[in-house]
Amino acid sequence: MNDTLHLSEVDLVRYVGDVRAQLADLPAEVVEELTEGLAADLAELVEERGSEALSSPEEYAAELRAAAGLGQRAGRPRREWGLSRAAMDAMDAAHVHWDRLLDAFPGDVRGFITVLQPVWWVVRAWVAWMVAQDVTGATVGFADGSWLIALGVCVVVSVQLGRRAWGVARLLRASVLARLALVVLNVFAVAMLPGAADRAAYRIAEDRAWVYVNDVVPAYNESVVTYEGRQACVLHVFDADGERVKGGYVWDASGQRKLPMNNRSC
Amino acid sequence: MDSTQLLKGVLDLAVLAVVDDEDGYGYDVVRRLRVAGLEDVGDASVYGTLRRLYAAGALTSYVVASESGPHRKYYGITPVGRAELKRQVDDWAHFSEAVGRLLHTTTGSTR
Repeated sequence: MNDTLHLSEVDLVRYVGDVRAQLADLPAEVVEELTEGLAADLAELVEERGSEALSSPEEYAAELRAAAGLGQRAGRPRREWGLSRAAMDAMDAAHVHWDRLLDAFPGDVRGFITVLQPVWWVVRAWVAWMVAQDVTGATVGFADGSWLIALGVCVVVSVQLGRRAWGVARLLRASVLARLALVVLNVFAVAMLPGAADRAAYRIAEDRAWVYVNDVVPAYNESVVTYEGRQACVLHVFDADGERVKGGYVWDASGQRKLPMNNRSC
Repeated sequence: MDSTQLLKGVLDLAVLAVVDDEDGYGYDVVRRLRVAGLEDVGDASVYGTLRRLYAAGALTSYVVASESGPHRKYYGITPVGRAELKRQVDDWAHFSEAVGRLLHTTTGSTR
């Protein structure tokens, strides 16, 4: 049962692709306008009346075109480039399979992942930003102005891509190359993520080391007693009973130097 | 007479009336037309009509994401569409009244 649904959904994606191919002589926006939401409508039609309710993609496209007042197909049918069409179909099918795979798990796994999508958009923007620093060889502080702006730009672009804004939706439907490029970029971001995280961790550690060194070095003073890297500015002397010995002194091992008990240069 | 021919002439009117009643997506509009008795209406004809009315400014559209499966495109009527609907309703009333009167007076002619 699930399997037949599965197949028919892939078939529907292909059917819509065939209908679009029949409209290929029209401007991309018109094709988009005519076929947006068509898959959902057809899925419901098939569910209610079976796949026999669908006419051939050619007839369907002709009816759609006539009703939309666009006239008959002009000139010779423009064949879509075979490979591009096959790639588009393969990606559509893979998407459907992936969705179905997620739906096979108990609970709304797909819904859960969908809600987390924006997090990925921000993460990949950050990865791009880290890679850009690597490529340019910049050693950027965390609050460097122009690089912070660059990070903002990366986030906006990545989120807009994710939201399919700025006509990206149309571009992705019309151009198999754009769609492939997006897949490649996402895979690249995933591959670069561990490296970027490692670099960030290194940079944080480096920053902390600097703070530590900066704290200790200027404070280094030859006249101050130090213990475990810290200055001991004031020394007190206690006897065996734990009573403080007022006016007590401490001598170093040579017995020749009295240590400063209350160092004012600290 | 083939009812699909008659249908073609009034499809705009029928689609506008259905969407005026309540916003709907493509197949929902098809279903409501069928339930109303226009069984021969073709899906692609309705979708094409929706898109044409949209392009003419008579309808507005919005996409509703679906949790399971592809998103749906809904259509609603605009003030332009409502004015167009009113005009077409008047035309239809006038036309059907004229045809009805003609059929009534021409005895013997059933069609």
